[in-house]
Amino acid sequence: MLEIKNLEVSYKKDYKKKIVIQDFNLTLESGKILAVMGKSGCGKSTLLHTIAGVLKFKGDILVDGKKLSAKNTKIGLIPQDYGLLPWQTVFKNCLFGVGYKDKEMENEARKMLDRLGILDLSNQYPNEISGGQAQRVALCRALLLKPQILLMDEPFSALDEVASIEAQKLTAKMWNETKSTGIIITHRLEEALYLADDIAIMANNSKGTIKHIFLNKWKGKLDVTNQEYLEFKNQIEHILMECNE
Amino acid sequence: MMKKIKGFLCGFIAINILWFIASILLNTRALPNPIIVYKSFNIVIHKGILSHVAISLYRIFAGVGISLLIGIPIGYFMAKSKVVANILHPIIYFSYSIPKTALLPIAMLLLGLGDTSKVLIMFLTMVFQVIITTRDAIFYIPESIYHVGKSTGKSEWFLLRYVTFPAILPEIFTGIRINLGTALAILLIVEAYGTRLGIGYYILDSWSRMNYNEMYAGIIVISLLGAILFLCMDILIEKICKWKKQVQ
Repeated sequence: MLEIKNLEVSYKKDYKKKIVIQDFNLTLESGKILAVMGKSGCGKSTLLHTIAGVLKFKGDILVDGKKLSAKNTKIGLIPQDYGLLPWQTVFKNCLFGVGYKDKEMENEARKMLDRLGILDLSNQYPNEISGGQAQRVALCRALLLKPQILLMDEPFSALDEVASIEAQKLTAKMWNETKSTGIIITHRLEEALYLADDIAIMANNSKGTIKHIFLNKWKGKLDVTNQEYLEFKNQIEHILMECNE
Repeated sequence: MMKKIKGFLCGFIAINILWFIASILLNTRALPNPIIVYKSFNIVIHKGILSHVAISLYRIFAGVGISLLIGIPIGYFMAKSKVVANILHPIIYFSYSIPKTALLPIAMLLLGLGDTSKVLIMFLTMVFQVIITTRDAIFYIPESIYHVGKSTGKSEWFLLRYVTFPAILPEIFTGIRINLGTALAILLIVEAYGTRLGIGYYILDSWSRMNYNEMYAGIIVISLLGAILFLCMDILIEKICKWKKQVQ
């Protein structure tokens, strides 16, 4: 379970303290996936990077009751640009998270690359592969960690619609197998509806407050034309528009 | 690589043809026929031009090596620490514009006429570029890579070893290439005084003795030296920065 209590994240700009997230609370059950949506600049990425252990914060972040730290919590992070090392091959990129010294991990990486359908790209460099393939490499790198928490920052935003749907299906499949607790940031509602158990809308108040959380019963369903689904989607869109004003 | 060697040979032949035509048209002792100059190579080598090349190479490598050893860490800390950047930036900004060869008399007064003053001038000429290249190269590394590393609890040393250093390597190599060109150019100045060895000294000495065949032989040798060093750098870049080759 992921618990966030009284979270405050700030940074200094021109010697002045700027608060990005204040008094933020969230509980996410183990194995559940939360999609976070909201206007640009509302604090989504800051929240993700704080949970990833990249940013300093005040308050508590607990994973299964223990304080979150990059050393004792396995965190898989997939940034928006995938964060691949341009000077390493696909294979070496996959090992970046788990380290380069474990031979057993090399076999694991090969198996994972095979399952993701990119084993034949092992010796390629990131600039030689497509966006969809790069996303799979980043997914492979994250999954090799067997993460307790999987964090994704708009992982499909750089892909075209066809590649995006394919990548979402694959991500959902792998996510179901790892049972990681996850947070995904997205601007596309369809992505959130397909992947997440809960959808959180962040308020546009520069404090990182969650305005609304929706329980999503349409997870794993694509191309739904059901009236109930469309009403649910409209409801979320309405809240999103309110937040964007 | 063969393409580069071919290009180099074409350029070499073209310049020699132009030189040959110019020597006939001008018909002056100051521009001898290249064939005569090449014929004099036997004597030039016999007279020990290779020992001049060796001492110049030593000075070049010492200057480049020390500027890298000192410049890379300074550039790194300038990129990573605002405090270090704030302290060093004004000093570097001011020092960068000073023509370092103008400091040669001071270097000679303080350090003597030996190699130390010559290497110091080479070092001063190159180190600022190494610092700025390193600092800028680190700025261009995507933050997301560090985020992935930090989220998995990687140490600063791991990130330096597997992220920062490989990321700046191509820029460092490009810097070395430029520095080698600079080092060859300032050889003529630093070897003009207080030495009887070095290819720069050899060219200037031949010039003062009006031995133009030897002077031109020296110029050809220093040019070939530059070309060989550049070629070696290209081979090194291709071997070490394979991913850059894919981009090209």
